[in-house]
Amino acid sequence: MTLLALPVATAAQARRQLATAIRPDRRGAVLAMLLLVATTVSGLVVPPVLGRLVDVAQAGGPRTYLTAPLVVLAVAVVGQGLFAALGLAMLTRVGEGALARLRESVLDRALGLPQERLEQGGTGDLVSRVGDDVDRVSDALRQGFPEFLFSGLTVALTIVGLGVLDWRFALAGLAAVPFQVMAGRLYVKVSPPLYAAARRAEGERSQQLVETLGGLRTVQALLLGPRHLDRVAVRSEAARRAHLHAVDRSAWFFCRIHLGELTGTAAVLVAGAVLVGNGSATLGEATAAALYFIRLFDPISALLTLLDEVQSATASLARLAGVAMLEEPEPEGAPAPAAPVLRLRDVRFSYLEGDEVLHGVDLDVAAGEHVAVVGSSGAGKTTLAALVAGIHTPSGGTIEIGGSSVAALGREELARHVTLVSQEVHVFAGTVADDLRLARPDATDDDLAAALGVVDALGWARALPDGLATRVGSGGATLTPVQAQQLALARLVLRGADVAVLDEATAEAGSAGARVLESGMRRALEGRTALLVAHRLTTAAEADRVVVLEQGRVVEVGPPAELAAGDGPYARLWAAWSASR
Amino acid sequence: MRLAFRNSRTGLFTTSFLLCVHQVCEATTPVIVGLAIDRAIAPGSVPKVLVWVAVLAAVYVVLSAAGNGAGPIGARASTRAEHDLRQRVVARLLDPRGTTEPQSTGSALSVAGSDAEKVGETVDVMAVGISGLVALLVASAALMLTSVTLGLVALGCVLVAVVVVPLLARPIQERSAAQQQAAADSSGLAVDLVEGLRVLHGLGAQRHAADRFRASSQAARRARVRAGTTEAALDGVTLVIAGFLLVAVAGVGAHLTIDGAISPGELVAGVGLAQFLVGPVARLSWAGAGIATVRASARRIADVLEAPYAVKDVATGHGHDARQLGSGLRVTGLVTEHLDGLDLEVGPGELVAVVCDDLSARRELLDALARRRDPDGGTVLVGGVSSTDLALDDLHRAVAVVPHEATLFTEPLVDVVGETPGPALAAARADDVAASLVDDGSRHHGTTLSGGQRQRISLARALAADPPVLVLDDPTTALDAVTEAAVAQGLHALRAGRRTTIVVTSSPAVLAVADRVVLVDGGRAAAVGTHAALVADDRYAAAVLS
Repeated sequence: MTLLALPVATAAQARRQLATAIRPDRRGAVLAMLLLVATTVSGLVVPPVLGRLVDVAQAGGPRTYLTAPLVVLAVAVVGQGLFAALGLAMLTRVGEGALARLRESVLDRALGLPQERLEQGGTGDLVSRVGDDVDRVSDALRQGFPEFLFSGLTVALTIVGLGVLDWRFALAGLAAVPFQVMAGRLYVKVSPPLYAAARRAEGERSQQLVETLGGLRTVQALLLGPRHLDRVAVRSEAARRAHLHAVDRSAWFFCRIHLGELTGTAAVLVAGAVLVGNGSATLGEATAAALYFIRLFDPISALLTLLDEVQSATASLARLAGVAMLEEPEPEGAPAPAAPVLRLRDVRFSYLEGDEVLHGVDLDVAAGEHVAVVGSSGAGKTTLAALVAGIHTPSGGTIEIGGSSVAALGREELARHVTLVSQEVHVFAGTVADDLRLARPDATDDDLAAALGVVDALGWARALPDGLATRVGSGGATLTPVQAQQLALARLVLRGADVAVLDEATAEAGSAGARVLESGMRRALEGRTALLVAHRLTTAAEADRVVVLEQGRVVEVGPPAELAAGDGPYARLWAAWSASR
Repeated sequence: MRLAFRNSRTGLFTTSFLLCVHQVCEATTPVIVGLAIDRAIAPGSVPKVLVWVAVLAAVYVVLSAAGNGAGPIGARASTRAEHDLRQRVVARLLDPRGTTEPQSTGSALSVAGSDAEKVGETVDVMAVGISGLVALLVASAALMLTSVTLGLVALGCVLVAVVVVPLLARPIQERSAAQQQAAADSSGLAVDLVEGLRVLHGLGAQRHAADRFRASSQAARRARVRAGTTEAALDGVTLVIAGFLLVAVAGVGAHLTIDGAISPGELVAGVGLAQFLVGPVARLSWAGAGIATVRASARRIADVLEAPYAVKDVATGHGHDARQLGSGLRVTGLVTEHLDGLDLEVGPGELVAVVCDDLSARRELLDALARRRDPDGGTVLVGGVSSTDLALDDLHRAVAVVPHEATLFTEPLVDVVGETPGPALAAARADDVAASLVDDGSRHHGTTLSGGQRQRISLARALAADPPVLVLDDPTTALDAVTEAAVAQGLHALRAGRRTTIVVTSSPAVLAVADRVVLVDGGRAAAVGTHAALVADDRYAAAVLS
């Protein structure tokens, strides 16, 4: 099966995205540019003044003639430092602003990504984009970009300076250009695919590390260590080779740069000999020209080398822009649901074309009613829950909440009315309070305590080292699966939506934990309309009605006690459940 | 840490050497140009200039060869070191002896990923630093040869740069640490939010999450602007210092030329060398800063590699032949934080269920069985041999303690359940799941499977491995009642009487097929019997039947 990877923008689209991020701070950007131009111009004063010193020295004085050039030199040097400091500070301000806007828009879009899209592309890819790629673009913008600007300006203005000195020297210097253009073309044309390949190989290596280190206990328990170590080695070696491939290419690139330097210097020297020989230039002018040209070496190779970093950052930028470009078709916004009532008609769904998971489900849930969905593993219960919560869009049929179609409701509006607590548990990194406030940012400490109290979690939460201010999740204290799921239920309470969808919310808690959760769940769901996917029939037995789902179809609906007494599928489930009780 | 570079030491030396040659050639360029100006351009002689151009070309051949050789060789050495380090870190993390300082998956990932990469870059950092030092010495020597006075002036300025710049850099380091922390917090938050995206979707809290990220991203921006402003000031000062070096050399040199102590060409060469000196100084300070970051990464790697082992291993075959090990398991007087003298006896081929409501006690029991940690007291005997007398590899071959979380990997089905998966798949009722995986492998470590499907495949994997003693931790929590009963039957049919099995569970369906059930309460075995017999026990009923 091929994955539908997240899109990658073209270079042009990526640049546009960057321009958009800089636009709000246009004035700062112009000011920064002007300061950098001033820096470069101050630097350009140096060679002709040095040339003048050489002329004075060669003529044998008088010494007083040396004072003026030296003072000019000192002023130029101080000016250069001052302008550089101001310009770089300004550039940081502008660049960091743009960068923050860019990464925020990427995350905005990433968080708004429909789950279907996410499942097709894999979270690993998205994680590496908001993590590694953002870092890479940041580094480039911070280190590479200022240097690139500086070098570009220096090269351009130095050539102008050379021309002002004597156009014939400038002409001689141009002998280097063909080689540099060749070098640049090599980089622009040849490198991008190599870098993209290297990046891809690194991505695969990270993915393997995520699997191996994330499944550490399983790997150890089943003696899979050598196999996984080997897999990591293979991926790591592949990433290494891809990287080396790109590096080897760049060696040829430097050959051309060196050839350019040599040719240019030689041409300037020969021109100097000819011009000084026929008396149309002074030795000082020839010196200034040679110094100008030597001063070009560093910025030119920096410029061309930075093409490298620019390429690599552009690859990352393209991956970011790919996410930022994903337009989320925000629905028209149907009228707000009138009541917490669910109505499903002929709901169909397939994850993959032609492989339908739900084949026309009809279901009504009244306001305040608790309906349990049971059925064997793989019957489509989770899919049904995700559809009702608006996470997937049905491929056929309609789902309405209080008369409004779920598909047509705006995301924000839908979120106000439906909350899904999934099987998947994630404790967000941060304090317990931070985690809970994701559900309601303006909740007071009392609100948080009340919500935790509802789900029986206040006791342990207060007993944590810093109470609700204790850091949990990645890098913080580890919570048990039960505690993590209690936090999820507390978030449900805080969110206050009147329709709750619970997808096997007790599955990962183990049997003992499930009972603790069930009592919390009961209180959390009071007064709400609820759809509960359940495998523990204790949960189902407490519901107002039970829906039995088999292979994507509703095969039975009714009050649990009634169904248990009959001889349908639920009765069979109930018998199996209570057989050993 | 040095070990990491064992395979790349030659590479490091070669790279450093080549970079030194490259730097020296670069230092020679202004000297040659100065000489050309003096000896060829001053008299206006084209043939003489051509001779100097030829000399320059020769230097450039060496320069280019050395410079271009250094890149690929250095990259080979640094990526080799990176790869070796990564393998060592992963091997250490996978080591069955475990660690007393477990890391979160996230930080383990960053140690094996970016920290290994950073430390690998030591090769570049060292080579650049060494070549900077050599170039500095050579260029100074060249200046000295031109004119001792000129050389001393230049060296004085360089000394000022070397002393003053680090002094100025100190506040930067502090700000930069704060900035790095803020940036890491912000990027960590982004990754964490994306990892919890499904939960955010369910909660409909994407907007709130985005707001939270915006706040953290802006904090990172402010910290970065603060650090960047200081850095810009330092850059300015560095430029001024380098500029005054030039002014001093040019001024003194011009006077010396007027005195006739040096020729105009030597003045040009001196000025050129003075300009060049800025480069090596920058290289040295870059290397200095680089070493600081490398050191931080190296410390994190060392923390992983040198963390004490959680348990001690004995050499394989140390007195006990693992193949002749009986498959009975006996736990006597196990004492841990939450266990208080637990006894448990499981005969060969028996299927015993353990009911343990206390999650901490349960974890400690499983840790003791897998020897992830040694208990405070008591022994675990495998086939009559204490598990502390067995090599860990032999112990784990004999006793597999499968964790509750059903982690699946991206791999072909045959890697999951082996060549003849039939019986295992049938027992775990996972045939249908396996059939759906045959075509596509399990992708994204099985996240496209439902919880129940994952659990069944994971159980099938454990059964297919067919260890003499299998310990399962609540293997049926995500299954519906009918499937659960069928899996319990399958488990019994596949293993009972043939292999030893312990299931920690409170699922009545599984308890019902067990030969014996042990109820753990108050840290001890409170009751032992069949499920049917124990149902009358109130404590048992409370734990299992509610």
